[in-house]
Amino acid sequence: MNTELISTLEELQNEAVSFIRSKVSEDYEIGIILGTGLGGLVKEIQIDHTIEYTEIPNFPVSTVESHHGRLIFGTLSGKKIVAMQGRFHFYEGYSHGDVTFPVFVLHKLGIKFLIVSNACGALNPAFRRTDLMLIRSHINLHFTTPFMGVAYKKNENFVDDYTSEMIKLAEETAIENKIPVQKGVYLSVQGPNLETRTEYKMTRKMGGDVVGMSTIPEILVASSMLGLKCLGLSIITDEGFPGTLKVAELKDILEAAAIAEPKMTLLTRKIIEKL
Amino acid sequence: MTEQREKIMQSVEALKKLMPSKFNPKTGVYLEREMELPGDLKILKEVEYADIPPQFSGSSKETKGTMIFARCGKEDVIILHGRYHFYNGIKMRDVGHVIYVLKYLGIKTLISVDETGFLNPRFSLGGIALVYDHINLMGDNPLIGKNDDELGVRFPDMSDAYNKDCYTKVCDLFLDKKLRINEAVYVGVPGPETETEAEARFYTDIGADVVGYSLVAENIAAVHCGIKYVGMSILTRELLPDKMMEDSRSEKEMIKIRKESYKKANGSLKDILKQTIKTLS
Repeated sequence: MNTELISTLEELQNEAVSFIRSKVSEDYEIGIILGTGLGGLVKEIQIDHTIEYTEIPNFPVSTVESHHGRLIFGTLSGKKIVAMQGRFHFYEGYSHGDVTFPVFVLHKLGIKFLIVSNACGALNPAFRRTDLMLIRSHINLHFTTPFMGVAYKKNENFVDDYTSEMIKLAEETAIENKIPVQKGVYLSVQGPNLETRTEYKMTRKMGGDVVGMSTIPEILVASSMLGLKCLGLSIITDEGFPGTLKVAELKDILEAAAIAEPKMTLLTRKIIEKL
Repeated sequence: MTEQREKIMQSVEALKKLMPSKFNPKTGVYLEREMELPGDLKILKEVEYADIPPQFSGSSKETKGTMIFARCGKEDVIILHGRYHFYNGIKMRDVGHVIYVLKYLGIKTLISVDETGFLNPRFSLGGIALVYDHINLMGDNPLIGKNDDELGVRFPDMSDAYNKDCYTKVCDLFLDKKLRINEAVYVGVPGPETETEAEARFYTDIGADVVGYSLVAENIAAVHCGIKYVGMSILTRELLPDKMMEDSRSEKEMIKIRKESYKKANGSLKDILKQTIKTLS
């Protein structure tokens, strides 16, 4: 990408930032991207401001109707947080650039930590529907990255995509609060169709513990480019075991997310308390 | 109405005007240009792809084909003779478009045949593979973009992508005809370059029996809109890694092998297609 385009991207981000700054003056240090199964966290936030995505210049707009699209600024567990309620998926037709645009904006607003949550299917036979998982690492099968055509420079603070101290903190928090969690590799595919039996077999063989369709673009930008401390949390909403594969209905997936939601919400709240 | 469906309806309206009267097709057949048409076929009307609106960018030069309205025995069928290939520069959405048009023309079952290379050492040139599952390594997907809920759900389930009931019936048919059944997992890649020895090894490792450039994308669109999908592939290239290391073949030889394989497969395909249409209708 030539310098002209980079400056344009920078300008687009700045435009969004200055619009938000015209409404919100305080700094918020923790960013949270609310995926399926973490929507309940919103109820726990003491809200200072909300801004609809549609109001923010240059912000992409979510096409999934079950997802709200707004930024929530407020206090949670005594910490200043900004939450993205509603996120952008590659399968909706957004480029990785679109998907990660809000991450750049949150960074410019001053966040130091990013927590990303998602719903996914289990590949590891030791995992079960409604389990929680801390993301240890990932495999990108999107056939693209947010850095294509961007003058990519690794942040000098970058150590790993899923910050090990964040994972450690999450594990300790889980133990203290008696919340069982798994730890594993999140493999992301393009979607939106679910996987065939053979694809489940393949992705397991490749080293995936769970398979999903999001999270990777946001984490890549936040960790390696912007140097934020990142944590990825997954809710397992279905099981992709080739031998016993059943038709996955959306209502079953949402039901699993609802069952896991209280423990996910508690864990997230407690982790934030310690940051 | 979404822009996607507007385009689909544009094709559907144009085609309905060209359809013979009292023509009520339930079964579709999608073939490569060089493939034989099903036996016992009475062609009622033919329409060139180029005359069906809207035109896809990149399709006019490379994609030659005819949509045939015909009667196979007692069944009304639509035959797509010639394929829209992703590697010719057609967008995935347009690859899917063709399938949705069939859906709106009344098609419930689609029998799709393409050509592939085989990784499974038990298969042989000129044979026909019956596809029972796939791996999508095309790096793209016809469903990416806004979902039109009229066409299908946002997250289609793929646990029965190659309808088991239809698959079993086609297997029985092969048994009746004493044809070899090559049960295959199909790995879809963009193509059109041929595979390296290392790629062939990798595709074998991940569980594939054949590698091709077409069925996967069509299948995903068909599953999305609820068309039962039967996938067959004729085997025109041998991709056995160890053997590939030993003997390399010139393009001239490859063309000859492909031609012979086609000839052999075409011999049985005509009859198989006829019987399959009859059985599944």
